[in-house]
Amino acid sequence: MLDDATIMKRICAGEYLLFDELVMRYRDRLLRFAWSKYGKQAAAEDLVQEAFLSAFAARETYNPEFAFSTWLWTIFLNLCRRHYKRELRQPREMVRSSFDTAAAMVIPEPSSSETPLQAVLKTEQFELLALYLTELPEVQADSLRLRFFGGMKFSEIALTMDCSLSAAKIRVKNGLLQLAHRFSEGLTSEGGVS
Amino acid sequence: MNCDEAFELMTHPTDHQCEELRWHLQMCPRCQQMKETLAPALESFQQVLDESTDLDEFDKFHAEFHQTADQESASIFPKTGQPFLSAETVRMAEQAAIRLRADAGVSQKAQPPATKPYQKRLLHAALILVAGFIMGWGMSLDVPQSQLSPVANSLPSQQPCLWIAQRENGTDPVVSKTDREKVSVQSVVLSCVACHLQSTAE
Repeated sequence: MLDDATIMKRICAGEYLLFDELVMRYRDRLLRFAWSKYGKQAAAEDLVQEAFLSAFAARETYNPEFAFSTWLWTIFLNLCRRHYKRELRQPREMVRSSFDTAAAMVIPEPSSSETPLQAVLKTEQFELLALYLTELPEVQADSLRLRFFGGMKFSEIALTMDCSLSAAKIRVKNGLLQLAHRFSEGLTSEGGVS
Repeated sequence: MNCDEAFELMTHPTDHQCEELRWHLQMCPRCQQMKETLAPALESFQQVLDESTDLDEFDKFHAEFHQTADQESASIFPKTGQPFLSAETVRMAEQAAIRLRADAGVSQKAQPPATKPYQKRLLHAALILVAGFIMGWGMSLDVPQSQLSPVANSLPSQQPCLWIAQRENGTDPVVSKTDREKVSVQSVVLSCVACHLQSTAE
């Protein structure tokens, strides 16, 4: 399998169709990141598409001295920030209730490995996680998203977020601590209600 | 594995259940405690990232569900048929490339070359040798010729050094302890100095 740097080199030499391979490699991870950040699928897909397009348009500036993944994530994170600023001008609250409207609920088709109930539970889990992430400071939430949804190493997170390695680790650690606390609170309150 | 590496594995999207981490957690109560504290958050991520989670299923689910909500947000993004990529976005990508290249350059400069520790050790060894020679030379100057032990004085130029002689005697069980003690430490050192000075002079 070709590595990212080789693919980019060949793309720069004119084999543009190889860019599909890079899209296939990173699309899902970027999409999960944006989706958990904005809760809107179309917005997330647009951001991912824009990130890939801009990487393609600026392909001549890519240098194998740094990883393609780090570059792509840096572009994507900047796009997300820009989008976030625009959203601030048109504020829209992301609440869990927006996912729970019974009238609009569509149960996904069961896959071969899981029941419809499992699929719904998994979706709910993702929504809850996405909601709690939005309550964290943005840098912590983004570090967690990069670590888990992006599958990035701490050194890559540090490069992408333009911070030190220790800062990246601390952000992930503190974010996880707050998230764990939030989940425990949620469980306690659910237990209290029942 | 140290605690830092354990934390990396603990938060690894796929390798969080590896044997190495388990062993570390058994040995390190601090990390065990940390894992228990973070468990609700880590498990939540792990459930979402479970291999069976198919992003396409989320796609299908949300495609219909969010149709109306996304129509609202469409104003933020260019409408279909309009150019999607702006010059600003491309500039953003170029700036990211410039920054990452600069960072890569800095980290390469900051990274010491692989041979440096080896060279440092060699330098230390050379310094110790030089210091030893200087000390030996100084000692030989301080000791008047008359005070040199009869053993050192009587050393002919071609006689093997006492250091080697003593080592050979030490391995010979027949030679008595008292015989070995006859050759004092000072005599051995002086014989070394005499021998080395002679070879240097030659």
